[in-house]
Amino acid sequence: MQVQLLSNGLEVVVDAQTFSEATLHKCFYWYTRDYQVTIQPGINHQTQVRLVAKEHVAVDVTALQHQVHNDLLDFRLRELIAEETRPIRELLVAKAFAHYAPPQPLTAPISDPVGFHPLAPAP
Amino acid sequence: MQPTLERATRKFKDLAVYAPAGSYTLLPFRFHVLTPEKELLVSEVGDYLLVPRGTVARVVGRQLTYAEEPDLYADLLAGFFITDSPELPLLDVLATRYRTKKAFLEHFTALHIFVVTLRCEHTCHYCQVSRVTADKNAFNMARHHLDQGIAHMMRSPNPHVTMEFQGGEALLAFEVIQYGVEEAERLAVRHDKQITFVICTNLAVLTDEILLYCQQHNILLSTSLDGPAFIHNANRHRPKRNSYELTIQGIARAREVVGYDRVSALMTTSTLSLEHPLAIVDEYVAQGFANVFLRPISPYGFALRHDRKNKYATDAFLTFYKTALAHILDYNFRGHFLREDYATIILRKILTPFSVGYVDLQSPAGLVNSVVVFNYDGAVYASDEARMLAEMGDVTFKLGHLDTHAYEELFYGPKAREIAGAWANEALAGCSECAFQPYCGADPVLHHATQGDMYGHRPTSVFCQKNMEIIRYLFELMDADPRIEAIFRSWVADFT
Repeated sequence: MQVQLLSNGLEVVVDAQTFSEATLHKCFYWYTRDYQVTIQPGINHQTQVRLVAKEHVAVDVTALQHQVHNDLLDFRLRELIAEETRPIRELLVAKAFAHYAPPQPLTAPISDPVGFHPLAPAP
Repeated sequence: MQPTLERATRKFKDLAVYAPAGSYTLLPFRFHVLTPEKELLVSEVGDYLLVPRGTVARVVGRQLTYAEEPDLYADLLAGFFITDSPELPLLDVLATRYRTKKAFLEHFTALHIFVVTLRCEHTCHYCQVSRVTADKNAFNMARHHLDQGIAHMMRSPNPHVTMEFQGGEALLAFEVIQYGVEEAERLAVRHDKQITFVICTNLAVLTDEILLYCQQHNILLSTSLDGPAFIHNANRHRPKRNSYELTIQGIARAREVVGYDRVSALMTTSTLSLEHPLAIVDEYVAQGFANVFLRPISPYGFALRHDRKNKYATDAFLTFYKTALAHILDYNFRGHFLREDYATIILRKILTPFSVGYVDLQSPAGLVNSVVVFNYDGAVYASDEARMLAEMGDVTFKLGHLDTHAYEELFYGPKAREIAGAWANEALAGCSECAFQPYCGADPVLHHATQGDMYGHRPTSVFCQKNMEIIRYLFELMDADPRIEAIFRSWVADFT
């Protein structure tokens, strides 16, 4: 990660193979209150992020640099957890609300040689 | 050669037999950096674990071993943050717990608010809706609208509904309330409904006849008490400046007739209130209440669409809230049980496995799902705040009208579906990654009112700023002092 301090903000260049586009957007979304945020994908998987303070914001660029560094790592961790646990989470929610699923009527003809299904064609 | 048979024994096996295998799988969880030293892990069902900063990175990087950190490993297993079994044998348990947390959805709309009149003899400066008029019938709910509203309430799938009468000053239309209560009681038998009746009133026009009726029909009374006289009377204007005196007299009379615990009070935090958190808490104690609900002023009007102004207002409210909460905790330290209601709602989500269907702090949001408002003029709104917005000329959250819309059109119609796009914090930017998601909610009305967009922008949201800091602060308090955690647990002990 390359960092360039600006008088009223920061410019960071990160490896897009490590920090996905989604991670960057989720991380820097929280900076949009105080900063004008620009995320610019570049060549060789390098993505440039530029934070420029809005008029009312007093900037401590050193503190900002530390915060950006920590937040990027935290949001990368969040993405790893979300990716790894996505199937379990989907299964969990599906099982939790399975009871609510309305009964699905059969739409295709099926073989019913014993005659369990009253609407099935006679064997 | 005979195989060697292992002899069955009832002796305890060595602890090593139960030691987890070397690898583990992550289960869904989120985390929040609580302080520079601590981070908070919150599972999908709201279980939490407070750990030193950097623990999540070690857990995700598979640097954690049972041999080296058995306690932390066991806590992570017990809290459903990791599992060391590839079959996920407790997935059904976890799914049941998730479903339990969302149980407020099971029966759909419970709270049905009937605005029986807009007339009021108070002119509170923070009220957006009331009208002062000599015409007794102006701004009263018509009987056919009341009938339609009750019919819709009876159609709710919820077997336990609340019929809440609001104003204006609801008691100025007491004959409308009487008709509504008796009609609802009659129909409840046919529809097998349990109904809780509530009248929201400032108690200024209370009579013995009204109290007797409330006692006979088991009606709860909910009033406003903003603090001691100098705050209450300043906030709640009335001819003769005697609102406080009438409220205190009314509370005493109502407790005597209706029942001590059947009268509750709410406060609204005005700018003046912000300077007197201790006096407000002391007033609630002096009046014999065991709870205080520290409510910020609704940002409809003075703060509308002014982010910076909202932010300062929220900061000031948070300072007020923390000071008042500390004072409430002091009472508890001295053996006087007193709880703060907003913290209690959040603590129920944190410390119990149960569902908490508080309209302003649930996901999916309480609009339509838990509450609906039938206005005096027959208009139907998605929440009380939605009708306040409508009184300011913004009908974005109007579901329809009792004269023209059927139940399905109101509760499942295009407006309800539009709101549904922004009512689940699981699917909102900023909230989807937030560790406090299971404890928080979504508020499309507030975001529409303050940001012009019901989806909302979390970094500048007063809702987000307030709730994130209060939730974070509650964890910080519990971590700092075990006595506070014990007090907080006593606040939720009666909740099942």
